[in-house]
Amino acid sequence: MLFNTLPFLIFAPIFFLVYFQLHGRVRLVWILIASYFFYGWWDWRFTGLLLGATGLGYFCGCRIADSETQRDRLGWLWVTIAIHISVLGYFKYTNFAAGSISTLLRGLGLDVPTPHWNIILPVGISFYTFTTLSYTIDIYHGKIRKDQMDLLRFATYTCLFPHLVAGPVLRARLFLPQLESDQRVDWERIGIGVTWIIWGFFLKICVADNAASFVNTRFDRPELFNSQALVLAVILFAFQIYADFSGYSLIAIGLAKMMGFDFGINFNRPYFAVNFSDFWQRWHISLSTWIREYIYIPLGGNKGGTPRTLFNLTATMFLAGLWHGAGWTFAIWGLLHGLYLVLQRVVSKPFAQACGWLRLPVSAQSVIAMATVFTLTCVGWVFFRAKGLDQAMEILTACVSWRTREHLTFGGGKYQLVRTVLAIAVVLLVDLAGEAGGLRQWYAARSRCQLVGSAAVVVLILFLGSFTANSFIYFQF
Amino acid sequence: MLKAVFYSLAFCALVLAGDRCVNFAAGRLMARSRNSFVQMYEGKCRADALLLGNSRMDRNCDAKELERRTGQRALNLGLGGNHTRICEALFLDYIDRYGPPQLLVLELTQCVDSPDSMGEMMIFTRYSSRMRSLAQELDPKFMTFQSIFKSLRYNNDTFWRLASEAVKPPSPRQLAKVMPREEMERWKQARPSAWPAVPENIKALNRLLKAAKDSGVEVRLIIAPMWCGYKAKIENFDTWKTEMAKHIGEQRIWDYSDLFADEVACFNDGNHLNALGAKRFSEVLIADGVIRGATTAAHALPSGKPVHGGMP
Repeated sequence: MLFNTLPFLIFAPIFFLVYFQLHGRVRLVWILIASYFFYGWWDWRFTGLLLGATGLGYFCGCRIADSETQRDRLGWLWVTIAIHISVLGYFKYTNFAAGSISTLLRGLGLDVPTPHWNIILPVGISFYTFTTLSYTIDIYHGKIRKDQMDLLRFATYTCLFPHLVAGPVLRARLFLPQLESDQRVDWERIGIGVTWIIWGFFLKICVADNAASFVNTRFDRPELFNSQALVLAVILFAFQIYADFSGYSLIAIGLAKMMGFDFGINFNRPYFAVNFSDFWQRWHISLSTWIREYIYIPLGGNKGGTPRTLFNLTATMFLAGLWHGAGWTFAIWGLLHGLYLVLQRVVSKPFAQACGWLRLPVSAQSVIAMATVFTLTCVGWVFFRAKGLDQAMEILTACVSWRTREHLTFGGGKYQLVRTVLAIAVVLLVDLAGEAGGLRQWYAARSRCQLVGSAAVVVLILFLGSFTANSFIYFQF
Repeated sequence: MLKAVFYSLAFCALVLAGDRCVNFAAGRLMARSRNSFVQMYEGKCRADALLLGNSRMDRNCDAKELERRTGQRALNLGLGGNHTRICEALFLDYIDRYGPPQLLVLELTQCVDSPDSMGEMMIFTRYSSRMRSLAQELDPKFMTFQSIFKSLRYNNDTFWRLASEAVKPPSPRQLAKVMPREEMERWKQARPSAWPAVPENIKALNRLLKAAKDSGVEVRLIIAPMWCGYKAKIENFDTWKTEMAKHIGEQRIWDYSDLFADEVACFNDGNHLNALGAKRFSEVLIADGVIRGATTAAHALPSGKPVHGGMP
């Protein structure tokens, strides 16, 4: 079920009407029922998989907690990791692996066909796999007490519908305590939740969906378009994916807020980042902290000397890229970000020295840094969005060479572009106001301002929105 | 609880008030547009010859050129996706505001367009109860929402085009490009398709013809030129034309589909002329007397091609 469709608009009020009447464990049971219904709406057959992941996570969690030796604990941890990753690998990476192996063999001169199996990728599998793994890893590290281990609470944590299919990725030790007592639901929280949901819908409907039609036509057939069109498509995609995913996250966070849960923020104005460490502290925060905590730090983090740190960074970002999708374009996207993080360590000092030598004011330094980070991020987005490496290279070459052959066109969609740019301008203004922390606090403290602001956003949605009920990009991951 | 109810009501009131403000401002801006549809609905452009159809009328017939050559006022209300039911409503709306024009020119391929959508015409429901009823029939869900949130009417590309034409003159409707080789290749590889005889459109066409006849309006049914590669992919063109002729009785169809058949320089794409083609087509229409005016030797068909026509 998509948040931006009519079935959800019917589902949500019914859910909340019942939810507000219930208390204690009955409330958790209701969340479970509603969440399975929400997930099953897409394809009921895969609710079994979700149930299996929950059962496996809980069982292995108990085994780890009950084990008396470190060896047993580690053994059970590897069992759960292996099974979860195998299931994820089967659904998500089988065709990719088979295709890559056959390409490699053909490169070695062997005549092998490329096998392809019709495997349906269950919605949200990457997200709930990480959510479940977080539980067992936290138990292994002793971050979850034995009295916190409860099947109903764990199942609720795994399946809670706001985060189930596209995040934010929750971490067990931070979220499970919220299930221990009755969730505090009051009108203030509901008001804040509704405000976030409305802003999330604005991001999705006005920015992401409007940008989508311009971006899709150019990325589908880049050979037909001139450089201006392709550069604009790349920039718009940067905003599309930001608005799409942060929009989804805000709706999820808003729904959770209304239910009495706190997910924490998932996007914090990423295009205002002044370096790539800053970018990853602002972009998909729940995933980047998950990856830092459960992959980068266990690999050794930055504690093994410079070469080891650089390797850890690159390897972590490579895995993060592959997590996003089964394709070399995603792997290269991840590797590029790894490379950016490595380069940042190399150039940050000379950059600061150059700025000092040129006596550039801090604000100018920040603008240069933001523009650089944004441009390099856009290069990464080309790989993320392109259908293949050839297409990505074609688009990048076209953007750089400024091709203007006669048959190439900017293409239509000029007026949709106006709407998209207007919506992006609104987002940037709001983000800019957010960067000025004082203004944000002033706004947050005034419920009447929020009321007027939210009403204005609804009017903007009516006036600028694209009501095509496009799917969210991160559903495919 | 009382506070929550107050806030909810205030929120709804604010949304509705904001919606009405946008509706008002957008409506005012739209009314200043120099777009021909707006001008027609605002009562600012009486015409002697009214041209109706889809994009093949919009792009292929140059109303300015016709005016210049004939001295008669021509108004082109062709627009991409406009099917016959929309053309019927436009014609009747025109008559309501100005009385009957002398001549009505209809591009017949509008009858092929799907009659299930209002296309870009939704915004003109602001002006016409006839358009509103048609929209209600074709898209009742949208119209229900629009009755609550008026600004939805302006949530489309058409509004932004109209708004831009309020601050600068409308850009010429004729297309500038010459059909590229890639487009020709695309048509060569395209699958053949069959044109449907859409019953709703045929009924609307008959109603339109009757209304024109009752009002004393002379009618010309034309088929604008198309590139031979495009026409070759319509596997039932002749059958379709015969069937249309059968449905409309005595009305003659001026078939110009082969006029510039292989003259690529006249086309923007397979089924749209470019500015040069539109200019030459206007000359032919005048020379043939489809559109009355002072035809001189200088306006004769440069290519000297025989004009097809004369259905039945």
